[in-house]
Amino acid sequence: MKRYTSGVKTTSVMIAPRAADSQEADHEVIGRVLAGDRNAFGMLIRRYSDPLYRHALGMTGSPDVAEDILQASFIKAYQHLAEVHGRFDAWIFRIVANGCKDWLKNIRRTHLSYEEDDQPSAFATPEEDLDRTELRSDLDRALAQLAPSLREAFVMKHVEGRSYEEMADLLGTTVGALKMRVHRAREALQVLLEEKYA
Amino acid sequence: MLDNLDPRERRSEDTPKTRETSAARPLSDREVPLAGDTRTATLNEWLDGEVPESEARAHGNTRDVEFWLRIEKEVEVRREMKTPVHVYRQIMEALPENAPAALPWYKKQVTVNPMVAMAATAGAVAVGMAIGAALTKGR
Repeated sequence: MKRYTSGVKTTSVMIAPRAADSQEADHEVIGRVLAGDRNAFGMLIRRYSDPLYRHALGMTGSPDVAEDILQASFIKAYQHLAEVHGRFDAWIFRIVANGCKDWLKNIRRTHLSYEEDDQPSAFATPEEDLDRTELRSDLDRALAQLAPSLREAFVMKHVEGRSYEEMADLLGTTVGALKMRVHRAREALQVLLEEKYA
Repeated sequence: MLDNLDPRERRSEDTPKTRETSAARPLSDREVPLAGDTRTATLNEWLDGEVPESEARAHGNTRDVEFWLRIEKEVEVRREMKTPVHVYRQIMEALPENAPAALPWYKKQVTVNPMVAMAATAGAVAVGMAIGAALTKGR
């Protein structure tokens, strides 16, 4: 199907590029770790940490919390590595996603923002940069008001740029249900933000 | 003469002959979706990359398109975010020194291929026959 340039960019089907021929496949790396090569686990961290970090950041809105969830998830994955039967990327994604949901359940959130963000700005002028800071905070606040399932769907689709098929695969639900969640999240965000930005 | 079953034909003459709005008619009667629904649907299709931006704008969504382009600019920055460098080191330092524990036998996945299934069935049948034979002898 032809894809048009739109507000959303979709990536390939997997979390990260799959192990190419030149790369060691995940199950081979896992075999080395289980045989006692602790450092080989670093390869899996490097391979999958970026999309997982973006997911945790999108879900929690806090770089500190996202780092904590990522660290706890990888340690848990290391301890239970022998239990991986299918795809490692889908397995570690579920650990991180559950970590985010647990955090959302347990924390009464106050205002959170990307205070420690040192990412380069995509805006040309200081005025645009100022606008962006404001938009960023407002978007965070609006996202925080969405139900976790809607926020998760929006973050996966827009922030992580995943296809609906990949989302369905990772979350174990249908493409139709996810489309509905994303549409509802967009609608809610637009209601929350359009007075100021539309 | 055949009965006229169309309820609209039985209106009295003094009933104002106003056209029913699309919204008032049952959903099954609508040949064209409501304008608002089409707008939202087209906007979502554009955001999903299924139709070009021009089509989204053509359905009266210009304001919405501008809004989402602005949001997209912010979201794009987030999409490029990388894990802070120190996180990798922190995770590696926090990993237990020992290798991950091997899976206990009762948690191990059992792969059943046709040969294994046939052997298991044959075994079960043999055991069953032996028990049957023992019971018959006992009588």
